[in-house]
Formats: sequence, structure tokens, C-alpha cells
Amino acid sequence: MNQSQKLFKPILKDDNIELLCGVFPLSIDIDNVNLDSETVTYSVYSIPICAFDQHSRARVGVKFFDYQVSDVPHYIFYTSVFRMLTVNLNFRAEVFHTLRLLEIERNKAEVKQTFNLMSRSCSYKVKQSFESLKGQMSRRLKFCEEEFICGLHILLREELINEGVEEAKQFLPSCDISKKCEYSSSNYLSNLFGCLFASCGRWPAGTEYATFNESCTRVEELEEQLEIEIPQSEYEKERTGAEKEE
Amino acid sequence: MKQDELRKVAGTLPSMNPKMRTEFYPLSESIEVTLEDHSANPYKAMFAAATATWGDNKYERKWKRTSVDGRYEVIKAVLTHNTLPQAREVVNFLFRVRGLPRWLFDSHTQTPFCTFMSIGCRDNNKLDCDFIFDDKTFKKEMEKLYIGNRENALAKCKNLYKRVLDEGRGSWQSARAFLPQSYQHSYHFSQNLLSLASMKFEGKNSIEMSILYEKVSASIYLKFPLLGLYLCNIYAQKFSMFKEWLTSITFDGLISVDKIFFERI
Repeated sequence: MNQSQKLFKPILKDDNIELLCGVFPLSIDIDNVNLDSETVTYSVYSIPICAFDQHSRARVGVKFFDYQVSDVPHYIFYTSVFRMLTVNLNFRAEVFHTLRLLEIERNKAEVKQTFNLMSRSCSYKVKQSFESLKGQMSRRLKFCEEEFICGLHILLREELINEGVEEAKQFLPSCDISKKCEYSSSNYLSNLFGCLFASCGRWPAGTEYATFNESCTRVEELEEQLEIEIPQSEYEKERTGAEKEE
Repeated sequence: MKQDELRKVAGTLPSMNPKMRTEFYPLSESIEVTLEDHSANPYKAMFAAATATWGDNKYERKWKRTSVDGRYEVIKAVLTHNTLPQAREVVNFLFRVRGLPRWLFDSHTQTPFCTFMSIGCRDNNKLDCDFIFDDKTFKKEMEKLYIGNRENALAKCKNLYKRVLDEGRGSWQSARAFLPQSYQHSYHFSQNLLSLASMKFEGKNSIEMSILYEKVSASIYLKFPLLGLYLCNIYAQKFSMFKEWLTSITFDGLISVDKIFFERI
């Protein structure tokens, strides 16, 4: 799908303030692949601070460096928030107004982080072993992860495959291996404390309970924004086939 | 129902959504650290590790067979850095922290040999979260608040957060896009004594990190005064003074809270 066919323009501007949508602006450069030491170094660009915070919690076999928060007021919003910005003009005006005020305060501040929103754009580099990445992929490719984290790992997997890293083809969400929904299950701790999101539907859900009655990340939005076709699970294929027969 | 009981304690029942309120605090006044758990007897652990390299084929347990004064001599050697450092690595602490801005937590998580578990901003409604400023910024911000400036940029961010929840029917995860990194973030972390004693407060965020670790050492002092003193002297770069003091002091000179642990079998 090319840019003109997309549902809406993924950017809103007012002076130097830019509001960007989901993983549209996300890009990853594979800087180095060392097949001997089985490590990869990659750069991540145009991702919100909240995603870096989450990604950088990985500890084993991974090093994060060159973390830079954008000096210019570029913000990257979840797709649902961006949709709200496109349809609700009053909300959009309030957002731009607030961000202008925030930028004035940020420019004056010694500790800039105080005025950095979690959605402010940032970039960073990662050096990681294949083994560490494999474990990380098994968790982060699941759609119960937030869209930036999920999108980052889908794009990273794709870029690695394009670079000829055969191991990357084995990087799968762990639910594809266990063949069940690992998030929305009746005995899952998250469910006990308050299951936040509904199952994404890749595998049958084990519980109906969810605080927010939608999947954390929507597959079709990631596919559209990353321009990557995400293979269906066996369960989804069976279900789609049965629907077609009906 | 068990699930609802747990959700009530954890504050995750949907009906328990907090009311919107925004308060501003300076970092030095807002940080709260409590010692939640620790090695059962840190002195016994240090003693066992420090003396582990010696013994005959029987390799008998040494703590029981050592006098209280003897135990204390070993601990003195450990805390004056006259043993292998692993003797301090075996002592673990678990802390609860609240009152930090999110950006300082993110910086803290880069500390090696620590384990962090924090309150999620995708798992919890942050309508009631405080904003924490570094002390200099706090003064400037308070001046503005006192004159009733409704244009306060951060308070407006909280309004946007609320609008995403109310009008967009979004999740807390979506709404956090409008949370500044100065929002109050709470967490638990564990760290061993060697790692605690190796903390360096240099470079970016060093002032704020040193304030945090002053509180950490104070929380240890309440339970284990000797270990608290050890750490706070290291952080104040007065380790040589501490060494001199500890070398001169006898077991009787210790605070009774510490003595109890030396006397336990």
C-alpha cells in the first residue's frame, strides 16, 4: 500500500511542532551484523520515549547507547490518539496550544526531562546477541505489547531477514509456539490483577475479562504503517478458511 | 471473589479510578525510601562468605563456633575492605521507592546488578499523579502557581491525559502520551551491598541520584545502623574516617539493634 492509499496523513504540523502517527515514522538501520560473535548492532529512529523506556529494560546480552531525545518538538502518538487528533479539531487545538507552552518551559529549563512528554521522539542504538534477541522477540512480537514495541520488533525482524540473517526467520512470538493466547488466559497474573486488554485473536482467548475491550495492538494498523504483511497464525488461517466456506 | 480482593489491594479494580488532582513537589522533599526486605542476617552472610575460603576437609560451619567478638572482627575486616569483595555481594536488600520523577527512575534502571519492578503507566490510571521537579525548577514553577497562572503547561498536559480517557475512551496506555517525564513514579528495586557501596555519583543526574541514595542508606540505618553508617560515609566520601572509627570501636560500642544480629545463631 503506498502513502496516498493510506487512510489518513500520518502527520499534523503547527510551526515547528509535529505530531506523528504510530509506527509510520519508525525506522531501523542495521549497522552491523557479526555472524562469528552472533551479535547485531542496530539504530532506532523516531520512536517515543515511552517505547525506549520499555525496550531498554532488557538487560541480558544487550547494551543500549547513544540515546538522544529530539531537540525539536516532534511527538509520536499511539494511532488511537492520533485518530482523535484528526477528527476532534477542538482537541487538536488544545494539544498544539499546550505543546507550545510546554516548549517555552522546556527551553528555559535546566532539567529538560521535566518537560519531555512520554511521546516526544527519540533515537538510540542497540548492540545485542542473537540469543538475547530471540528471547526478546518471543515476548515483544506479541500483539498484547504496545504498538511501538511490537512494531519495532516486527520491523527489526524484517530488516534482519533483508540483511540475510537466517536466524531472524526463527524469531516468533511465543504464543505461536505454545499455540495459545498467553496474555488473555484465566490463570495469567495480569488477569488476576486486572487484565488490561482483550485478546488480539491470534489464538483462542482463555478469558472474557478485560479492562479495555480491545486488543493492545491492532495487526492491521501495524501492517498498514510498516508496509509489512504479518503472517497469520494457524488458528487464524483455520478460522478465515471456515468463514470463507460459510 | 479472590480476584476482586487482590484487585482491590492492587488498586486495579476499574471502579477504583482515582480522581484528578495535580500537586507539585521538589525532589529532595518527595523521595521516600523504605527497606522492605533483606538478607535474614547480613552479618552472618558476610561472615560466612568472608571465611568461606578457609577450612579443612570437614568444612564445618564457622558462625556457630565463633565468639561474638570474633564474628565482629570478621565483619570489621569486610567493612574496611580487607576481605574479598564477594563478602559484601551476598547481602541483599529490597527497597520501595516513591516520589521520584519518571526520568530519574529511567536513569536509575541503568544501574548494574539491580532488579527493578515499577508501577506501570499503562497498567494504572495516572489522573492523580504528582509532578516532581528538581529543586531549582520547583522554585520557578511554584512562583507561577502562587500567582494563579492557569497556563501552567504541565497541568494542561494532565488535562489532555484526562481528555483521552474521557472523550477518546482510550486506555491509560494511550493517554500516557501526554504525561511528562516529571510525573511521580514508584517502584521496588533490589541491590546488594557491594553494588550499593560501588555507586558513583558522577555526570548527568548525579545530584538527584545522590539524594536518592542518601535515603537508601538512611533506610538501611534504621534496621542495620552499622551498614547504614558504612554506606552513608562512602557516599559522603568519608570512607577513611569510617575505617578509622570502625577500627577503634569494640563490639560493646555497637548500637544494640546491630548487636542482636551478631548474637543470633
